Amino acid sequence: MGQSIPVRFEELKSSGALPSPTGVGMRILEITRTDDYSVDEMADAIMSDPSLTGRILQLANNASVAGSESVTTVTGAIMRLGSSTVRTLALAFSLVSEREAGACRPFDYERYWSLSLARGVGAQVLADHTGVAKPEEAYICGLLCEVGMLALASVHSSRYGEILNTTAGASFDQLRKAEFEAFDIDHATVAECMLVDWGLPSTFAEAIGGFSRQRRVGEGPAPVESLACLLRLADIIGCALLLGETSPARRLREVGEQLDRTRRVLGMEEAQFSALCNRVARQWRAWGESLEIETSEVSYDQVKAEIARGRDERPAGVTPTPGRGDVVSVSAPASAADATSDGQRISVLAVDDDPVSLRLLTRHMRNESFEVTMAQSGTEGLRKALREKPDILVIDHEMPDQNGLEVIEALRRSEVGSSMYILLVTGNDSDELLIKAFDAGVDDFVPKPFPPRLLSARIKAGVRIANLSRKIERDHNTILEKNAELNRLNRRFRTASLTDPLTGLPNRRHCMDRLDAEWKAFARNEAPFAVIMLDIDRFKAVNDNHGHDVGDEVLQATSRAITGALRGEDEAFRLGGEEFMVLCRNAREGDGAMVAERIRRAVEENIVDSPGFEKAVTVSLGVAGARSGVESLMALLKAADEAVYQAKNAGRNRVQLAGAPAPAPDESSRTRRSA
Amino acid sequence: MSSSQVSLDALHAADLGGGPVLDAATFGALENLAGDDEPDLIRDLVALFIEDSGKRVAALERGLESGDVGAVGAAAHALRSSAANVGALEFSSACSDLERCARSTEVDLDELRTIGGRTSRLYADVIAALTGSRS
Repeated sequence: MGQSIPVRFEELKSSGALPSPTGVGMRILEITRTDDYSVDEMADAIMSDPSLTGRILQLANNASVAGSESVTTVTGAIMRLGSSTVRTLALAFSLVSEREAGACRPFDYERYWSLSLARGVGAQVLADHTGVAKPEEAYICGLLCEVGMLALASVHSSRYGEILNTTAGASFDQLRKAEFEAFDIDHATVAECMLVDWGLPSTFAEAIGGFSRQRRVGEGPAPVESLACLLRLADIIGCALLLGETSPARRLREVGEQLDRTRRVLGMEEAQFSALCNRVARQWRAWGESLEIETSEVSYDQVKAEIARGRDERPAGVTPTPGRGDVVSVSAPASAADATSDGQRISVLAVDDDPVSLRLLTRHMRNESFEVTMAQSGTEGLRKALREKPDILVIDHEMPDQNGLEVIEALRRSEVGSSMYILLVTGNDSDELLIKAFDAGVDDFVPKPFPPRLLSARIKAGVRIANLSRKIERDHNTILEKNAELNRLNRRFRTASLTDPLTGLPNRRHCMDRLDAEWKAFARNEAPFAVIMLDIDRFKAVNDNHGHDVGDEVLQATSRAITGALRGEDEAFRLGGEEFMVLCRNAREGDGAMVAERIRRAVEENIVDSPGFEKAVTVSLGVAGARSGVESLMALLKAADEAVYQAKNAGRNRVQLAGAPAPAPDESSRTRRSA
Repeated sequence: MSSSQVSLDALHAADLGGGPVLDAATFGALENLAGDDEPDLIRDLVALFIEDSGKRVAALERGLESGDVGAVGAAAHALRSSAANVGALEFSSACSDLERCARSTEVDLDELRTIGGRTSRLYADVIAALTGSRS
């Protein structure tokens, strides 16, 4: 990870739009970060979230052994499932429950979660099989593999959408390159930073980084030796489970080949591999149900049948591209094609159990060139509304499974549904029902059978409001993006104002900030430090005789020689002109003198390679240590400065300790060599 | 029942005595709505109505037989609006009466069955008119 990259991550983070575990998830992470947490503590944290509690209990009871009593308390669930499993669950649940918002249209959120879950479960099963990692750790890693993409889609929704559209069908390497060009950071690094930020073990971040940067699986059987490698295999199994009737033949062939390769890498027979994949499919479904993530009833045989279909559809004479296990898939670009000049078409979801009304409704709305989807029951309507986030919902009240008002109430409680324009269609226009309807959050109503012109007029009113709220949402997203951008610029300006442009070293201002901080730490707990002040000997003559260009090169060469001689904790600054300063942390005066001597020698041996000036320069250095008796930072700096002066007087190219007796001029051989 | 069996000519000509079974004005409005770009709209609506109403009328008749007042009310409610959409106004208003009767606080089963019988007869007329065959 390059040094400047986490800065970009801070910028993403400061936009406030990064996905993150909810409060409970974070709290559980904190509690369990140490080894000696109590089960009660964790149970308390979990119970502060009723829906999390419900899901944990449900899973504990699913896992229950025949004949055992059902679990009714969180503590009981922890006992049964084990606390590490419960911790993993809690984190996963709290991440997944934050998944509603989705402003980046080309990012297929549903597929993202469905695939993440399949990959997580796949990794868990593979970890169990190979013993490469702990199953629950593999599960978390699998679930979070592509969280960097989710993050970029959340923070830079429109720009990332453009990138996804232009790189659709390209490799993940190309996607990362495009991300880097646009944001100075790619999804692999974002994911690593997020995991570190959440306090997950660094092995997780490494595995996910390794997975994201190299998604191709090698040929032939090979031991699965790393978690990253295991994630690659799990990803392929996950992709295979997501194949379906609508998958294009090309995709079927790609995944088919990767699946075969996965089987060979694992060194498994067809039957054994089939059993493993079916186990993954079953668990995927079970988890999907409890996390409310879309899955499908699919078996390995069905996947193989689909893949066989893909092979049959291969055009004659065309050979498949070998092993492109690294192709970006985003939602079909159809959504982008629907966009009109003002951005997007108004989308309407019509829900009615009467097919005649539904057909009429859609006809009315197609006349207004809306994008229409339909649902024939309340339950289906609610599901589609949450998934497709239409601008306008037109819903019948009386339906057998879940009536219109129940759907509306449920929607209004969700984030997606809170801004939707909702029109209730009802054959019963009693005041009582209408009052209830408005209480439930209906925006308007239309009597049924609907007078066609009235329906159009009311929908148009809805469109005005939907446009308005979409504009607000767009503005909000723009503000978030602008914020991230602004932070980035700010960071650049600040870096610029603290850096010396010629040498790239931090400048005087930066130096004083650091020294202040160091002095305060010293005043508080006597953490020792030393400063070295140094000055290039006879620099004025270089400028006068060879010109400023050569002078600049001498400064640059000297700063490189200085930084090359430092210890890890030391830091060099250019104070201005030919003056430099080095801060030695955790160092007494003697340690500082050793560093100073190393610098002196490094500069002396460093031939400056400039046309007409092919020789080394020398420096005079003064060292002063912060110790009792030194009253202030100013006094310390003054002492170092005086030591430099003494070194110059004593003949240059030498180190002088503050407070030590000044050496007599020309006492050492060094002086003779200094010119 | 496929849409090809729907006779549009019969829809206009339908007059089976006792008031028009199908309302011509409704069909006029539907034709306007269909315009040139969706010529199959009326066919679709009629076919959908025939298919959906068949199931609901069956449920309605089962409800009347077993005295399941709730089922009768729900079926009548659904039939009321879809029938009105295809211009079966008299049948729709019978469904409306039936719904009101089924959902009143004290249901008179005899009255319910009387209205139910009338509703069934009207339904047969509607289907006959929509499919262009005489019952």
